[in-house]
Amino acid sequence: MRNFPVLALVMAVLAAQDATAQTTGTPVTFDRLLHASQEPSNWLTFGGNYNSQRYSLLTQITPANAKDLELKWAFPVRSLDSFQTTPLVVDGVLYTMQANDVIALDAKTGRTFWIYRHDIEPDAKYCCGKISRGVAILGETIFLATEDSHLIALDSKTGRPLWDTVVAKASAGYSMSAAPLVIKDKVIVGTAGGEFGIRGFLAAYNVHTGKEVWRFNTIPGPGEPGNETWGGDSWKHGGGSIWNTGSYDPDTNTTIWGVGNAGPDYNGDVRPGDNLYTSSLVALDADTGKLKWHYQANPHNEFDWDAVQVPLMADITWKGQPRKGLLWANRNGFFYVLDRTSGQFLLGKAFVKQNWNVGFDEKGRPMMAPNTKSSTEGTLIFPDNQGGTNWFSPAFSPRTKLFYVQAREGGSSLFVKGDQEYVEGHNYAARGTTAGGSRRPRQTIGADEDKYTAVRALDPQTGEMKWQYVMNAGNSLSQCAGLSCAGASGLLTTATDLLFAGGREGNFVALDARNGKELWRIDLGGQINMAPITYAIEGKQYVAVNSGNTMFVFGLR
Amino acid sequence: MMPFRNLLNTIVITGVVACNLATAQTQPPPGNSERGGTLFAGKAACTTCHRVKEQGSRLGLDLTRIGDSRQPAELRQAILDPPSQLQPQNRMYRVVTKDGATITGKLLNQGTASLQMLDTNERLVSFQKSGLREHNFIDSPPMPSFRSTLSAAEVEDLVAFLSQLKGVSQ
Repeated sequence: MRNFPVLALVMAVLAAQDATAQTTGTPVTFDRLLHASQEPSNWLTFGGNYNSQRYSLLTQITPANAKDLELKWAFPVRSLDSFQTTPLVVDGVLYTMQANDVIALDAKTGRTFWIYRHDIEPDAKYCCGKISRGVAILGETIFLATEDSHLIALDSKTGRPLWDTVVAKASAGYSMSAAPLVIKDKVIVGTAGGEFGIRGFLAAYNVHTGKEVWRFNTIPGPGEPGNETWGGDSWKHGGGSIWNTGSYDPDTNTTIWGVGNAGPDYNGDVRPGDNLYTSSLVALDADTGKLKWHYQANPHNEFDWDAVQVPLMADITWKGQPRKGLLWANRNGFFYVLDRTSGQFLLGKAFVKQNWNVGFDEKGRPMMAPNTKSSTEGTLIFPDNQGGTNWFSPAFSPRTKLFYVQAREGGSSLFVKGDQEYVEGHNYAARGTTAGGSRRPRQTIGADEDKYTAVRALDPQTGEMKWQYVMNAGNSLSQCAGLSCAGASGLLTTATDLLFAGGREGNFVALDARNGKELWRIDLGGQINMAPITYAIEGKQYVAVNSGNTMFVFGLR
Repeated sequence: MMPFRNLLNTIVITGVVACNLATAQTQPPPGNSERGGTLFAGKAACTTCHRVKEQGSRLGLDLTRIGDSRQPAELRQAILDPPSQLQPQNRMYRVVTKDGATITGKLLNQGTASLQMLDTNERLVSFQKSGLREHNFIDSPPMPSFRSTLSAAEVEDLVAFLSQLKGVSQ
């Protein structure tokens, strides 16, 4: 109230640099988000910018001095769940997560400003642990999507909740693990829960009130285009989850997201048809949520291949002409190049071993190889149900013009279908049992040295691999069951031709983005299940990565 | 949309939440809440220190939901005799660096070696305690009494306004 005496004590602050941390600056406007690449000292969105390239213009760390990286600080979180969060950095404050909690840290020292704790509703159902891949920011508000399907707005300065919207029914299996995406005055989220027979959707909420503005059903209902691709009432529990963040093209006001697999996962007999828009990309008008185009990578999929991999936007040269490209490495083992303005299929090429596809028609519809349907006796498919890649964010360098992906090579699954009735809140995968009694889809065949994870550099013009860096040769994928355990990191590249990557063995490496040569390596011990980021404070560049339950932050000596 | 769940379970920030949930409001206060809202942002200048629905300063107690946790009598008392209602964690904090700079604000967090604040410019700042000459709460109440600056009717209008603050419209 008036005459607040303490305000008179405001002094010229922060003179003693060694005693203080950075401070927050101006609010993060939509214009700042649009031009996030132009302020590389910050990391303002899940993908670093709206095109999800994870390419930074920072240049202090180079191939020549990467060997001089050393640990500056570390922050362990109090969660044993897979630590997949991409932090945000805003003018010296780093926002990360601890399961579904949000933590604001001094990005220079790792000291805690505030913690917002979110207790998951006890009857919530979620498949894969308390995982959150990050938060979003607009103005002075942080947006959090939780595993019990709350979308919560927090004051970025204090962590105080501003509003809390229930997006979907958590006890029915609806959950949220993807970082929200803010576009203009809307915050966009999708729901996970494909293994629980949900009917997926993307929805936009007003950033000030939390009220829903539009909703796009990834499983169209009666009267909606695409519903005819579902037999009977199968659309009601058709899956189509969204659990990774999409991208945004401001030139066309289009936001593009990947959609998860159809439900039930392993038995398509109960859902005859193509099952739109599962295992697809959907391009939506950001203002209205209206569908502009879609591309379905796997019609009527029976192999659990969520297509939620980040759709990366890059302006490329295609057959000698400039093209607004969309680069997409899919869990099904194929690398796609599309025209992001129309969805036109330009290229589809396998980047790992596969045996299900023998080609594409002119519109990009895959032609299935013989005998590649899920069966009661089991059908062996490459890649496995965890895919040729997964949630791991890819990267693209406008300098090298290469697309980088963390690939899982050599995995295969024996897909066995079973019968299962839908019961709300219960698993609805319709997974059968093999003759050996296993209900696990992953199958071990072949030599261990044929199964590994690797960073691969792909040429968008041809899909050819230019180089690879093997992260963990000789370790069988079968030794590590479950999505979290199968982890490998996403990627980060920079304007100095560096590429940072991590592996499930805990190795964190800096590579030469031009040729894959290892420049620096450190063993952090725990699995690395997220993409590293980079930022700068007071002219000093940092690189942050999660390993195990700890965030490690590196800088030059 | 649903109301906030128990804020006591979700906020762990030092000094942000002051709760008195034991008693429920029984009778609406007699003042005019609309006039009270005008006073809040105008003559009384409450937003200099307090925040309601994303407007105003973060240094004082956020009053967005104050109507849920305070009875009119308590609000009236806080306006007329602020020290009687001041919770210890809502005091202002002051640090003086070894080179003489003084920074005041809200203490957010502290450990053995460092402390973190929201300063009066609403910047998040962090200090090594070894770099400070002194650091402590300011005992004098940050809020003045409005006993002599607002009329009795105006106080009631302000109480009526504060009493109906129960979060974002649902």
